[in-house]
Order: sequence, then structure tokens, then C-alpha cells
Amino acid sequence: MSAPTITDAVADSDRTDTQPLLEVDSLRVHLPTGDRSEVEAVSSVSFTVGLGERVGIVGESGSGKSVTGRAIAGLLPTSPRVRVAGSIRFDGREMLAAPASAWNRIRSKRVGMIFQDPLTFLNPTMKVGAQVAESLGAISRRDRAARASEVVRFLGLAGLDQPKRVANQFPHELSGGMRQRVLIAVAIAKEPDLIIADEPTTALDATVQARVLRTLDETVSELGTSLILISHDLAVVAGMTDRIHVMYGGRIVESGPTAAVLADPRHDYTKALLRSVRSLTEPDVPLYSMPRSLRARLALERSHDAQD
Amino acid sequence: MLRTDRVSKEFRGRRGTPAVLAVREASITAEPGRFVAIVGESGSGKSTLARLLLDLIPASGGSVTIDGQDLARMGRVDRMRFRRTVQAVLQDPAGSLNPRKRVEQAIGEVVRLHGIAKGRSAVREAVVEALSLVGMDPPERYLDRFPHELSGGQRQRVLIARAIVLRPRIIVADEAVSALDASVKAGVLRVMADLKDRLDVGYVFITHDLPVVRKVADYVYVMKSGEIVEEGETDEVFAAPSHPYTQTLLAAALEPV
Repeated sequence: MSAPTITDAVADSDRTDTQPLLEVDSLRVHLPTGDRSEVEAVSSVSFTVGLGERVGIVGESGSGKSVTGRAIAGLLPTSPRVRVAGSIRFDGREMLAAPASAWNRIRSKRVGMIFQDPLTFLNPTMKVGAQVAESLGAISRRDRAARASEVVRFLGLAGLDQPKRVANQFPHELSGGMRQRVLIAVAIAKEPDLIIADEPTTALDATVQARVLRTLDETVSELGTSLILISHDLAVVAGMTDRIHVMYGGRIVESGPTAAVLADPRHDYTKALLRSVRSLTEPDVPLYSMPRSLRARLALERSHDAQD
Repeated sequence: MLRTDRVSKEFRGRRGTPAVLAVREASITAEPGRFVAIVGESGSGKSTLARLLLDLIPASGGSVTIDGQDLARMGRVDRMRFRRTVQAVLQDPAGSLNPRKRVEQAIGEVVRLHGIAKGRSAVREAVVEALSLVGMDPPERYLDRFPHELSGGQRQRVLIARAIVLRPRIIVADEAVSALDASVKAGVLRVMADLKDRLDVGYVFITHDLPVVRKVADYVYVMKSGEIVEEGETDEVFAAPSHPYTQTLLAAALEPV
């Protein structure tokens, strides 16, 4: 029996050709900050991700980019005080009010996740190979040899030099860069339709970062996977994505084709962000940090929007 | 002038694991008014070297000297003066600030400890001056804040203020801006450059962030596996790296946006 492929999975659902894989519409997330206080971490965020499309979300810490990523993966804490509103449609199906079982089905087969700190997401008591094997839904659990060879194949695809050896190791025996690749292997072994990568290389050294990004780039292209790449680092997002959304204060302030936004930013925040990033890399430009007046104006805009 | 002369640090292995030579015969020089950078990846020994420079751990071999005086042979009084002359600013500002102390207290206690000023109003004056030096304006507004009431960039500025209040000649900054967003990073770096010009502070800037080094450093040391494999004026090292490892590091930097 052949394994179901991505196209089979798509045919199973009720999606039409023009429909994007993921549609996020007016997403709002309130998170508690204290006993009585809360913050609107995400306010009215809307965007779509098409099949095979690569979307970048950039913003500074506190911009709401990670909360957005977690909401899409259904990974926000389940507490009555965490309030999520709006709509997240995956493959035409509304997920926001969906039961946990529906989320589990999607996360186990169709959405892969890669986060900044692999140790939190890898099980320290399980060998790496077994953790990758958990993603292999398609192959019968009885067929051990086939599963083992698939595990090795995906570890190799994720850029690990000695996949057989790594499969038999525990996470603590691996370096940071290797762990991050294992996480990529776990994510791609599902042959998912969508990968959500939240700061996948931020904790890594530059040489390792370059290799891990190349691996992610290649595997995503090879498998035709859609990608949401979340990062504070414009350089990471610039080289990896087709479209970009710039977030500030829980809102998307600017969206567009990545190259166009970087070449000709329209929003004052994007302009200032690019100016400060470039001031750190270009030798003759004086160091530029965003003026307080701009942040104040953005906060004001936000509160006006909230009243509408 | 702060100097290490072929300094080494060996960490003994535990339970049969072999000893690790974290720093191997490293010689560096730092002086007031100069921005010196040590670059390398995790595990290269750069943070161990920083700790040696700060007299936080003893050297296993070689020496750390200030104006020719060997740190290992200093008495209590000289050592106290050394601590004032060479100050540290570390990566995690939240971890370096006591969450239960307000800004005024956090900076004021080092003022008292080192006898920079005595009496409540004189101490406050010193704190206010330090805060305004790092661009926290108006300084009075921040005196009563707790660390959690400050942003990441503001916390880092408070740490620089706490260092600068002692009028050090050298600040050892270990990944001091690595965790900050670009705009905040640029702001903190500007403060550091400004203090260099105004107070003639020198920096030993330890980082894996090469663009920042290129931007601010006068001189750069490249570390790998505990050794300094290359050193030189920043412009020259970036223009024509001679060691293969430096070449790899430079090649790995992402295309700037």
C-alpha cells in the first residue's frame, strides 16, 4: 500500500483550487498579564497562506508575532483567560472553535512546527529516531525496517551528516544546531502541508544558522510545503519568503511581496525598522534607533483603531 | 591598560571526563578610549576570557595585568580598585538586576560600596548623573522603577549606568546587545560609543554578532577552540581575513537587507 501523499490529503477535504491553505481573519488574542489585567497581544490580524507559499512575519519582541504563530498552531494555553477571537481556517475548515481532537489531527499530520528552543520540544528520555518515527503516520507500525529507513531518510534530508548514528542518540548528546535539525526532521517527516517556524535559528551561531536555513529552504522546496517563518531578524526572512507581514503592537502594519516591502516600505514603522537594521550593517550610516515620538504615534494609532 | 599575557584557563573534568582547556595562551590588550572586540562562536572560550579579565575566575597559566600589575598578586585594596576600574555589562539584564530593587537602589548600592559618594542626596545625584549619561531622560522618572517596569533596552542602559557610575576605564561587555531588537541595539550601541567619546571609556566587546563588530570595533580578536586565531584592525580583518576560520565566519553572515 502506498502512503497517502499531500495531494490525496488535499483531495480528501472540501477545498477548492482558489482557496488558500490557511486563512487567518481578524484574529484577536487576549492574554492575562496579572490577576485582573490582560493585554490584547494580537489585534485584528488577517492574512492568508497559499499552497507552497512562503510567508514571513517580522516584528520586534512584544509585537505579537509569536502569539500569532502559536494561535495558528492551536498551541496557546487553554485557560478561560486566554481569549481568542476571529477566524483561523485551515483548508477551508474553521479551527478556532474546533475540538482538541481536530487540532491534534491537524498537528499530527498536516502542520509541522519548529521553535527556537528545540530542547523544550524534544523528549529528553526518547532517542531521536523514535521521536522522528512518531511523525510517520503513513507507514504501518509493524513495518519496522521501513520506518527505520524513513527516519534515517528524513534526518538526512534535514541536513544531519550521520543520520543513522543520530537516530540512536538522545537530544542531550547533540549540539544546538543538530537539535534544531532534528526538530526540522520531526516537522518534515509528517510531510505536512504547512510548517510554522518561529525563530528557528535565533539561538544558533552564524555558521550553523546559515546551514540550518539552507536545509529548511531546500526541504520546503523539495516537498512543496507552505511556510510561515516568524523572526525578528529581517535578514532571515528576506532570503526565505515570498510575502512579508510586518507586525507592531499586535497589528500587521504593512504587508506585501518581500522584495517590494524591503525595497520600498510604505509604513513609517517599516521604514524606521529598516533604517535601524541597515544602520547596524552599513559602515557609514550613523546608528539609528526608533525615536520615542514614532512609538508614541504608533500607540496612538492603535488606540484609535481599537475604538473603531 | 588591561592586558592578558598568554593566559590559559583549564577546567578540570568531573567523574572521569577529561579536562577542558577553555582558553589557551590568549594575549589581548584593552585600553581606555578604544573599542576592542572578541568574536567567536559558542564554545570558543570568549566568555571564559571575559571572566578572566573581570577577575571572576583565576587563571591556570599566564597572567592578567592592569598597568603592569599582576592580578594574581594583588591585595584586597588593589583588587577593590581593580574592580572599579574594570566593570562588566553582561547579556541578560534581567538576570543581572535584583528584581526587588528599584533603579535608584541598584545603582546607589555600588556608589556606596565603592565610596563614590556618601549621604542620601549625594548618592542620588550620582545615580541621576549616570542615568542621564546613558540617555535615560529625564533620569528622575526612572529612579523608582523596578526592573520589570523597564523594557529590555532600558534595563541594559541601567546596567551600563551602574558600571559607568564608578568611572571605570574599561567595560567588559559580554554579548551585551545580542538579545536586543535592531532599533534598541542601535540605541544601546550609540550610548556606548558616546561614553567612549565623552568619558574615554574603553571596551572589550565580546560577541558573535559580526556586523556589530564591523560597525563599532577598532580592533578585533577572533577566537576558536580557546585560541586567538586572528587579530588586527577591524577594517583589515573584515577586508582580508587571513585565517580560514575567520573566512568561514564572514561567509556565514546573511545577506544584509
